[in-house]
Amino acid sequence: MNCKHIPNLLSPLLDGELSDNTAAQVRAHLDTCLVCAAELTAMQNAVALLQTDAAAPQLPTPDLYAAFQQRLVTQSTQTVFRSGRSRRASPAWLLPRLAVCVVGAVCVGNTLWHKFSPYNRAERYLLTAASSLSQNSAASPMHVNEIRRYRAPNGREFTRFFNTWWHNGYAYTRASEQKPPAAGGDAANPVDFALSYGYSTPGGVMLSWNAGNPANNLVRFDWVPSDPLHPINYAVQYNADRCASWFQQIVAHGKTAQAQVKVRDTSSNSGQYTLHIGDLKAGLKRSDGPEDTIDAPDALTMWFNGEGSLHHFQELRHSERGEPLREDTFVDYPAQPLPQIAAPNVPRNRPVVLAYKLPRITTPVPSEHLVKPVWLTMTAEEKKEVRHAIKIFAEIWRAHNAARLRNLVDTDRLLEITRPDKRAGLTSDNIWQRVWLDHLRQQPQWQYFAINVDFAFEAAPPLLDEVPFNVGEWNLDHTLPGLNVLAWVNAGLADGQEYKTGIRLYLVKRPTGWKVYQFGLMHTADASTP
Amino acid sequence: MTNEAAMPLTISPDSEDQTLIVQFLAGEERAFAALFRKYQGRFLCVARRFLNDEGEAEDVTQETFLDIYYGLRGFRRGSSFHTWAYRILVRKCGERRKRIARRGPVSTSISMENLRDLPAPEDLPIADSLLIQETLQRLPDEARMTLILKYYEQLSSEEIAEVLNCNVGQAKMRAHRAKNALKDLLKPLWENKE
Repeated sequence: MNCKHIPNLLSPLLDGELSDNTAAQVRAHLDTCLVCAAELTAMQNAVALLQTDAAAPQLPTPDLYAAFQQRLVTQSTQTVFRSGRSRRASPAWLLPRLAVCVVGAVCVGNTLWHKFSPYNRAERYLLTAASSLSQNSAASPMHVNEIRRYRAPNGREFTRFFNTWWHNGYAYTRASEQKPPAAGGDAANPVDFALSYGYSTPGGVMLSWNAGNPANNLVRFDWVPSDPLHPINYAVQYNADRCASWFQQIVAHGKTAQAQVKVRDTSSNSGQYTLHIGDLKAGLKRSDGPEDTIDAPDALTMWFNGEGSLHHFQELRHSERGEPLREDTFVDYPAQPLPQIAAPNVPRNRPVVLAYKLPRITTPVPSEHLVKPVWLTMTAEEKKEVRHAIKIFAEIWRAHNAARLRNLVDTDRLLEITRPDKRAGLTSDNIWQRVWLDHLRQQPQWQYFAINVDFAFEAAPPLLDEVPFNVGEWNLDHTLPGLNVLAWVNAGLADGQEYKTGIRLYLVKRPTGWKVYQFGLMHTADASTP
Repeated sequence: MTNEAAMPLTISPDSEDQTLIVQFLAGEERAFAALFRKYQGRFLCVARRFLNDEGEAEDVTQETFLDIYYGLRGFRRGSSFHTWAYRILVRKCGERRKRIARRGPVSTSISMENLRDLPAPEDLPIADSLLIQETLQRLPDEARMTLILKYYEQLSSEEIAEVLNCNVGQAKMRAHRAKNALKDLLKPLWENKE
């Protein structure tokens, strides 16, 4: 026991709250320490002063009851005049109540916004489309198992995202220029190979692979997600038959699930594609059939809904002479690693963009089952919105491209076809076919000519992006909230020269009206094109 | 033996309070008047010592009884009335103290410098009273209220804990700290005097 401990023990000592042993130690110290003894004396004096004052006669107490009664009456009167409001309805009480009201109003507003907002309606579109797909595809019933909401970018992020995607996101590798065809390849038929990547979706990455001529090819790679706990969703899209038909399929699964998709290419006799997807590895293998009938580019595009990096990219190419695929014919690219692909810094978990998860699909899905019923199942209001968007689109289209496209497209016709009230029985088929046929008559020198207007409703997964669908097909393209409009003119001559021009607009419906973003304008033309 | 044990409670038994409360709730305003007159002196005394202002103390006392008047209908039977009422009083005093502080510094009639010229504490009881009252005002609110409840109202540590909404150990600790603080304030005055 020393002087440090004593000050805290003096008061308990005076109150008799110390144990006998401790009290004895304190007293022993006080007997020997004058400083601490003085502290005890001061404490005793202070307590004695308090007790003396407490015992002293108090000031006379006035009778407050009369004043209290008067106050009681006054307060009761005020309560009456306040029309039932509590006497506690003073500002000090009003503030928390006001805060509660504000919070309640915000909650109600938030609920109403989500109920009636375009985002919610987008989800309805998606479900409608999926339902119609299921009903119309006898061979392959498709069910939407899960709809997940992702965050949608705000305006600034949106602009940055698409600028990156459109202008800077692609990296081409022309294999034919950098290295000769691999053993077993067709040296007389050089291969153009392009591997592109970019940010097709917020928080996701797109990987696109295109090969020139090989009939048999297999792509293998590993996709390593940055977040090992984040399940990966894939969307896969590939084409065949001279780009005349695109098939698209959506496969979503977790890290450990596997899915396999077989799609029969009904428009050619080349057999079938087999797509293996499983456990972060994907490959596209084409085999079987007389390969010499295939001379159009083949392509594979995959989207990943998470950040990550690409490793071990391998391409197996083969000649068109029907030689079997062999492991030793793989072209490996270890010396040319792809750069780390980092998705834009878009925080997750802010709802809006929808992703839908489909079960394992193993049966062929004809393309016509994918898109046609959508328009027919729309409500009048939904169709009205689409028409409105097309009208906006067409106006912008005309403003930007009138001079360039004058010889190709009568853009007024785009407006005209947005008025289906003049065309009873209009369907998604005859709209575009009519345009196509008209222009075939006007431009007989074109071997093929297509106008693709691809619009999508707000929603959906960071999985799909635009596909230049050809005539007669609609694509319910779920990319981002808003109305996604892509117009594409793709014309070609018999010698392979082609003219392409396109514009991509993004229309976002806001409470105050439509907001239009133009984020893509592409134009390529050979000298021989008009 | 503790001080609480040595000094019997002067607060009347709760049974009497309960009877008055039952009568008041049955519609007898006179029962509330009896309660009022029974406790007004104590409440006023606490408020005076805490606020050091007669007018404010009377006002706070009336406000306390207003709250009691309106709150008695929700008062739990069997609870201790006087600790419940003291809790209201302590809350009212605290609120009033904050309101006074917002208005500006409190003007006191006697400064600490003047106190040094007063007779020694043991000589004049009135000087004692002024000295202790002025010193109490220099204590933090919590310490001041603890000392008032303990020494002037002679509440036990358990009752203080209930009034101040803390446990008994904390109530004792607050009392010790308050006494230490009071001693530290008074000691220089006495030393100067010597």
